[in-house]
Amino acid sequence: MIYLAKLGEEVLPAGLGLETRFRFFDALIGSLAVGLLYFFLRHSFNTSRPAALAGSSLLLFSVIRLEETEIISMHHLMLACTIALAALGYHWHERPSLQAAIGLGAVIAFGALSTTYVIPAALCWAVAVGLAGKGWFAWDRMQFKISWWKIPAMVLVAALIVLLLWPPGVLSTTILRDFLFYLHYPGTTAPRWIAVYWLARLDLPILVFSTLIILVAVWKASRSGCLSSKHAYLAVFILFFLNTALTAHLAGARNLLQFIGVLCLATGALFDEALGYQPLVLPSSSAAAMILGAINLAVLWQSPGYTPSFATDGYRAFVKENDVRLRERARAQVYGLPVLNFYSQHEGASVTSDVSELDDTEPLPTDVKYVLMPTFFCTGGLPVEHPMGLEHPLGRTVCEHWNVVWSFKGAHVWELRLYENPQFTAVNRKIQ
Amino acid sequence: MGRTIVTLIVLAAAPILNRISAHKLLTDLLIIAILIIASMRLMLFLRRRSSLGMKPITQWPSPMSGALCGVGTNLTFMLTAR
Repeated sequence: MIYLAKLGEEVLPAGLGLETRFRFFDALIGSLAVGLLYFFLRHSFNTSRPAALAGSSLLLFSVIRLEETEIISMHHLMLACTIALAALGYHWHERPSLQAAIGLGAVIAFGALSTTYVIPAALCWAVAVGLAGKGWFAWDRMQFKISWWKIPAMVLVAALIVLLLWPPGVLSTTILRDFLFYLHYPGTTAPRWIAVYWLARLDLPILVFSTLIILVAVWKASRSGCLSSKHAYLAVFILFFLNTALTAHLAGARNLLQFIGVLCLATGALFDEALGYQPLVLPSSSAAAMILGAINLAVLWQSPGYTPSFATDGYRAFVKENDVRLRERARAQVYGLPVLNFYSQHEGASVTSDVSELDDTEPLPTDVKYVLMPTFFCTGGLPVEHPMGLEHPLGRTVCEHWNVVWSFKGAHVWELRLYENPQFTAVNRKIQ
Repeated sequence: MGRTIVTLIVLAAAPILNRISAHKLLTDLLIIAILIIASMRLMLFLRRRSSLGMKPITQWPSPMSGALCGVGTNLTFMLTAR
């Protein structure tokens, strides 16, 4: 993603603005997930156009996707990979072939280059085709059977692509080691119930539509005795991704993005049968999903009570207005140090302070004079918009006892504050 | 903002395209293009007021992949420039 960001800086006109130039190509590639979802719903799940539009427009207007997930991040790439893996896996779930092995291997490699989340995703595919497919994996009484040349071919293709583009990923087993690191990640984690809250608060149309469509489709199919491998396949993906989202490190609503992708895929795939293939009901329900998704996004975007987790601003203003402090020989901790470095480099400001990234897992060292951080560390109580707000130690020390010496508040973004340690303020007064 | 609204209106009218176009695949490709453009415009529009999230800039996967991707980026740049 970072290379795409750099490409945007190189090739796009300066008039677009620094942030837009950096984000342009990442946004383009990140948006492929929505297009892929529509394509696969139409051509792998053979849905009607309204059904495919319902699933893809729910994902298009997802607040968690648009507002809670950084544009320059691996989550959007992994979302495209998850959707492609689920859909292509279904496309070939009863037809294992060399073409299928190469296709799925390429998708897994694409995911492996994005994030280690590809390991549970591939595991989910294996369970799904094991239970709902034919020829890939099978349990014959007490024996476990495997397609011995197609599975290795798939793994080989994935490994070769990763080896070509990122050699340490295979040679140093970096992907596996990173996965094991995140499996036991020690960072601050929000409570599990917050996932339901985030879905209901931020993506209510997805929650309502997916729940209704999936339940009605399963009820209709079970009543008529038509539960098929499609239902089993989608059920495995939904349950597996829900379980993974809830048991993995839950740093914010963005961790639900892969589950939301699977939910939209299942909603689109079951849309026709839930609504009984009725010609008038399908387009009107699809339009309702689209309109409600857009309204939800617009309402939250304009709501003064909602600020996205990553909406921070003021680093450029900080660099411009704190020239003296940046050259002061003092120790400081900054939330988003790369952001500060980037803007200070861009503005030509020299930073001589001993600045390090704010470590929110450790107590603050006593010799730190300044802390630059957004106010979501100070919200306290429920992690309504940001899990950092949950009884964070910084909220008790810095927010309550330190002095605010500079601040920036833009519209619809978290206020950025520079705090000064009161011990240093007292020393300065004595010197004066 | 105006162009974003126009894109969304076009997207809402996408089912009508079904009646206009004779080719199913062409219509689907057109809808996919509209979806991708709408998504991209929304992402850029909604984020226009916030600072860059630059965490990945310090997390280069490896020097080798950096070099490979750097070559790829530069090649793309050269081809685009021409």
